Amino acid sequence: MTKRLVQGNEAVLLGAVKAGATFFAGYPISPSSEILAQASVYAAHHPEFRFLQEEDEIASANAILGGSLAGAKSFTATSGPGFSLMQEAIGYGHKVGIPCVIVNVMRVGPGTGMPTMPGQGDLNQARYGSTGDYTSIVFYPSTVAECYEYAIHSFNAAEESRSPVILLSDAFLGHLNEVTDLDAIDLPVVPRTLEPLASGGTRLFSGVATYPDGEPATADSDEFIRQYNETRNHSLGVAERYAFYEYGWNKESKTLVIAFGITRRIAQPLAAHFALFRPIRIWPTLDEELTEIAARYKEIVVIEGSDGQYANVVERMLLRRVERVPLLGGRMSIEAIREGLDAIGMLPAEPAPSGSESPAGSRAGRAG
Amino acid sequence: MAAKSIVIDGVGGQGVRVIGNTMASLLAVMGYEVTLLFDYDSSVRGGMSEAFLEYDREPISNFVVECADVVLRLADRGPIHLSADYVIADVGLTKPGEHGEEIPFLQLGVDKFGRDLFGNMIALGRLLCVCDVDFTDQHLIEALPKKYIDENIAAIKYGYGLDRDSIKAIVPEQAASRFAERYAARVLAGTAPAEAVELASARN
Repeated sequence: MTKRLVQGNEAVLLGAVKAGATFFAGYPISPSSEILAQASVYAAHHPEFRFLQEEDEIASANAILGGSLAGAKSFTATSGPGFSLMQEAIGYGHKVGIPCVIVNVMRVGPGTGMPTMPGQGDLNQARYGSTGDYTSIVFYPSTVAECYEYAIHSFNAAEESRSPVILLSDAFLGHLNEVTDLDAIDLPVVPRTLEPLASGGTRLFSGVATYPDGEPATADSDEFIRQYNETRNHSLGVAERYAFYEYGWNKESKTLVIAFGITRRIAQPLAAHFALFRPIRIWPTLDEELTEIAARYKEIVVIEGSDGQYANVVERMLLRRVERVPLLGGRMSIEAIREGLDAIGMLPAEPAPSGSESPAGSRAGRAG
Repeated sequence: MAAKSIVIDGVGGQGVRVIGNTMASLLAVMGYEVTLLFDYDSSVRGGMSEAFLEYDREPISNFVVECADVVLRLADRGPIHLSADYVIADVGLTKPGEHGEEIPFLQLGVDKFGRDLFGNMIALGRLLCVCDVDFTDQHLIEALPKKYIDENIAAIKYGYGLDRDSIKAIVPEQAASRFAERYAARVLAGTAPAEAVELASARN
């Protein structure tokens, strides 16, 4: 057992390596740059791991698609504006069926925004950022240990779904150091099964709609729908095996707090007053699990680092009113949460005792 | 006092990361659960730089410190919502009504160890003393970067052994204040002492 201080961004890299990643391409951007920097150092000492600093994020995303097609488990890391630039490549990856992992360490946007401040405003972009309909699998851990765990899960889900998988983090989680024993985390690794290009067989990798024999199917709606449903059902089936969430705190409360990623950690002092639902698999949404749990509570409040991106999703899912505590401008703190709760008349009368029921790093639940 | 929530408040290039990393590493070596979060402006040189450090024997959930047991203030750029039970500050940096002390760390680094960067380790020593952290030489050896290790251990121990009477006897406050102002001007001008950069590199 080797407990040591590990940074969130470092844990992502180590998880990727554990999952069998052998290619990283990227372009530095705060607050994700430590992943790139440490990947370059890792590559210098491990020749089987290849590192490429690209000229921008468009090139980075396309490079990992190429790396994956060539047989390497591949990944990149970026933040808001860079993630925007990667969206076309992500769509291509979904269309062609290319397993890879994109890490988005979220900061405050839009635009350059607040480069070193934490935000959670890329949830919708992680789901709908590219063109057309596709099924995104997206995870968002809350601890440094989970950064490692869900990096591995992301690669596994990418291999199984044969699609780009998004691993979300944020400026606080990426820059957080925690005493962690990564050696104690033992997760299975899904091996690469796709044969690399040029290995003898025929494999299509066109972004254009085609028939299985490669002929264009650009005006055949029936064929498009057949392929779309096949891909969608396959991805949803894979996602079901990764239905990670946490349900805890004071389950007898009348109010359910929904918080994820870093906001779940910061909201911990409220544990005595509220029940908690923390989605770890952000997309596809955990409809069955959340619907069943939410039915037990009179009120629901979503605490998040955006102006209601996830609250809107929950409201549509549950078809009932959902209260909102948006933490904007990088001000992620229990004081800001209390102010938000007070503004909607939901602030508990007494401050909650610190160090309550569910400590950081507690194992997350999983459906099924 | 048995502090658990520490904030180190400074500007980029001043040593906040070195002090935070070293204290967190020391506490981790001693078997504590530790969270250390660096929060900084994107204009790193001269911009605000904060380290939020919490330690305990139990896992820590909320790592954003808003009510610190102790603040070590090397510059006054910290969060406006931050409150502290006790403030250790370089000269001229405590605020009216605050409970704390002012120590000319940078001046002491030069006077006692020949380099201002050792003022950071003196500040760390004083912080460890105020927090009642009972470490050994072996803990320090395991936690510190190898470069300048003897000097750093000496500086930490010197800071640990300081008290208010000895500080006042060593450095007149006005001289220390002028020294701190000149040092801050160098940091803001992007000409932080090279030794500080070297130490940070050794740490990484």
